[in-house]
Amino acid sequence: MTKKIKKETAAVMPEKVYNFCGKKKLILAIVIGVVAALIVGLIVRGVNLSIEFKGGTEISYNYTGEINANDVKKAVDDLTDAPVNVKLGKAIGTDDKSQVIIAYTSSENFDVSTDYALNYKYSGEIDESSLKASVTEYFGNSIDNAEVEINELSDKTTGFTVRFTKESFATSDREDLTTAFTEKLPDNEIEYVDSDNTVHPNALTERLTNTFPDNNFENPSVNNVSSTTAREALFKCIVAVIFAAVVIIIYIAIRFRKIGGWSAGVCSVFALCHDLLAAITVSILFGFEFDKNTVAVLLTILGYSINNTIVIYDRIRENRTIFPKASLNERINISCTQSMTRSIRTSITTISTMLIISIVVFVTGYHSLLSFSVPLMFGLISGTYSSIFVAPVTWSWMKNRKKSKNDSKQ
Amino acid sequence: MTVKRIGKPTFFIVVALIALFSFSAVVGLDSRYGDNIKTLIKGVDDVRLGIDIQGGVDATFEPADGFDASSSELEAATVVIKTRLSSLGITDSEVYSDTKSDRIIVRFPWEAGTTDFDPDKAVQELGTMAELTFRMGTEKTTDASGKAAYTSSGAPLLTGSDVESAEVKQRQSDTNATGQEIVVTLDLKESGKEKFRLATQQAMSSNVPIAIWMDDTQISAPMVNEVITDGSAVITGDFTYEEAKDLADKINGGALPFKMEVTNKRTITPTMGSGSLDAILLASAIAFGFIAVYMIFLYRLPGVVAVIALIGQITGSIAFVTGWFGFMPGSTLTIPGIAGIILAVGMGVDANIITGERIKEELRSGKSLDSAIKIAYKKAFSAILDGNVTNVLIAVILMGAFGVPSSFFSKFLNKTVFAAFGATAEGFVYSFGFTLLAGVILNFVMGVFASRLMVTSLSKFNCFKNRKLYGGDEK
Repeated sequence: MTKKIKKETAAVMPEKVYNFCGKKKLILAIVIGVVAALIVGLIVRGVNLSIEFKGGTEISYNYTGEINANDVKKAVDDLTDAPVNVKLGKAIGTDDKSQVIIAYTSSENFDVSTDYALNYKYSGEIDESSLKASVTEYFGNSIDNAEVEINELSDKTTGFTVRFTKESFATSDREDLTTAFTEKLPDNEIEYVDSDNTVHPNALTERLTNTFPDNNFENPSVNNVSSTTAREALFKCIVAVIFAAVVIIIYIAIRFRKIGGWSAGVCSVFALCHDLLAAITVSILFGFEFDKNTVAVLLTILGYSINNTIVIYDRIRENRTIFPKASLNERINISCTQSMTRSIRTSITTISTMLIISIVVFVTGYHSLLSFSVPLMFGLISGTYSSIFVAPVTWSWMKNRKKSKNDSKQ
Repeated sequence: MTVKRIGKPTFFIVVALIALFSFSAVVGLDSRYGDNIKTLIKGVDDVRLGIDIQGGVDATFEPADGFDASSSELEAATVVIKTRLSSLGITDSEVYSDTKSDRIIVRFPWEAGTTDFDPDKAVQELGTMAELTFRMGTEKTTDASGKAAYTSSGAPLLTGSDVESAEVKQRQSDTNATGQEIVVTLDLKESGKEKFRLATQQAMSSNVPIAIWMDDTQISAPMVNEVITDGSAVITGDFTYEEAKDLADKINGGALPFKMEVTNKRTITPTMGSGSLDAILLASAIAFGFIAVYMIFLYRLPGVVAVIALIGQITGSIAFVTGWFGFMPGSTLTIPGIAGIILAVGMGVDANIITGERIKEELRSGKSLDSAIKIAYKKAFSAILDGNVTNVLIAVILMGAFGVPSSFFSKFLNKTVFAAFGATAEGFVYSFGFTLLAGVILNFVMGVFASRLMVTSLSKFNCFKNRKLYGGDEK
């Protein structure tokens, strides 16, 4: 019986066993390297959160003729540090007008306020000073450029116009202002007529008109994009990932309890963090925008990294019965060596898939997909490396430390 | 999974099944009656693609009748719209609120196969943007234009924001001849419980029903049988299943804190253009070709089998996205969704590589072909199982956290782990989880079960008994 086991062991035992556990310093150096690159990237490049996560402004213009979204993007790109997103559309209504929608995440460089002109009519003689006083009273300190101008309306009735520049002035604000007038001057039957609002000329409008003089950019309208819900979703996603990590640790702890599952689970999550950091670092160093697709990249790496690590653990679990006398480090070294062919071969297929996608989208000019394929490719490379180095080696280190602690106690 | 007898024909049966399945999933099946085309099985053409690729609709919603919505009310409405989009399977959307100007901007892709590109019709897909209210009594008054308006019984008792969810249930009945009746259950939020208790008390004492209104339309007016204190009520009324479902959908979907109207709509041209889809397809074709050659080169016969299994897995993922499987609704193909497919296919390749390597190892250790294949699949399975189960866990957690709030996992997770967050449906994370889960299921079916059947069956043929074909005994 013993003879048979020996024979089988000899056959299964790889010809050369690489010493993975001895490479602690190298592994530590790479981990530190990734973290250092991340810090450098954060300082030099910073994180470019996309509009849904950061909030921002969308300005849309009507235009005539033909334009290309990419040309518009190029023309206005240098006005702000943050990435600019350009969409083309068609307004549906009485006359179908072509529209361009320009979205960006920072409002520092553009004045997005609107020049409001509200027209009112009144009857009788109006007291100009109390009219002005009620405007000043209404706005308080919020703006200082409000003006009131008394004029004659087209139908010979008397009216006045209130002019001011403000970022936004909702319908309810307008109603409040009207109430302020009627309270102050109850005898003049003041009534709101209409308004002619124009977006305050800003650097963006100027640039567009200068670059595309034939396209008649006009009638800009501004939407402020609130990031509250998307940001909450992002936080929820982070909580979901942490929860998933805890569930995975518990699952590994149960399934690999024979080889000390808790520490194995913790180490697999450690290796996972390593891979996520690598992908984030690459994304930052390339200056890609952090958007929905980046979240998808990180989730993909989450699944891939854990799967890779588990395949190695499975070998260690199996080798426990095949090489019962081997030390922990020896067993890890044998298992990693045995799994290496599989790890490399699987990684060649996944990494080259991402490489092919990156090359094709680069060549065909759909660069926006690169922010997906490139960080994912590096995440996969890191996942391969961390599953055969980081996870088993930190695990052996953890187990051996525990053991020596126990030994010294005795 | 024990497969007792695998004979020679098994290979052909499995290949034929995969081919049939793949063909129907890709091409779909339409039946024509003159100009009417009815889709029986959805094919690739019926995949709803993202806005970037396909273009879509952009609609601006504003509170109707000059209602001044607070920021939190706007955010609540944003969440409702996102949930509606998710429950329609539209997982690629942009929903922003503009709290400064009281607007909600919604963008979503055209429905698959849209030819008339009518934004009005597309916006209708989102459902009514009406305000849901509960009011005392059923009296109606008629306004100047002759339309039915609210009863004079005053302010609403409850509004849509007080409702947690409504569901269709079947229960025992004493009065019904069949002994079964279909009811709609109603769960209220904390904010609605006390209001509902007072309302039911009042309705009981004055013996009037509580009417449910969508804007100016009364959709149901149930009588109150008891004072309800815990905020969970049952609406009975001889419903058919369809009627009950309709009412529940209206209550769930109508949970907007205020009435909204479309003030502006426009179409969005695809930012990347249809060329981007061609680029992605080209890249996928090259990558698949590479993987096929690579697998066959490395593992020979099991490599060929792996390629057949992979074809089944990829078309299977497409089938899940189109809604080929009747029990699961379709989804939108987005970049995160594609990421889920890539991950699952990657794991499928991995399963085949693990098994292929094992077959080689076992053959080299001197085992017979039959037992080498048997042992290799058995040993490889434990690694494949654990790796795939962790991914199932990830997929289920993500789908639960970001799925439609009334789904099973969402209910459980939103009340425990994610209690600090609202029940948000975030399409892009959901679609990743969806395709990942689909892919992992297919991985077990194709990458493990089907490929095992095929390899075992092939090894029964005399011409395939050569160990070299399995990567063994190179000498």
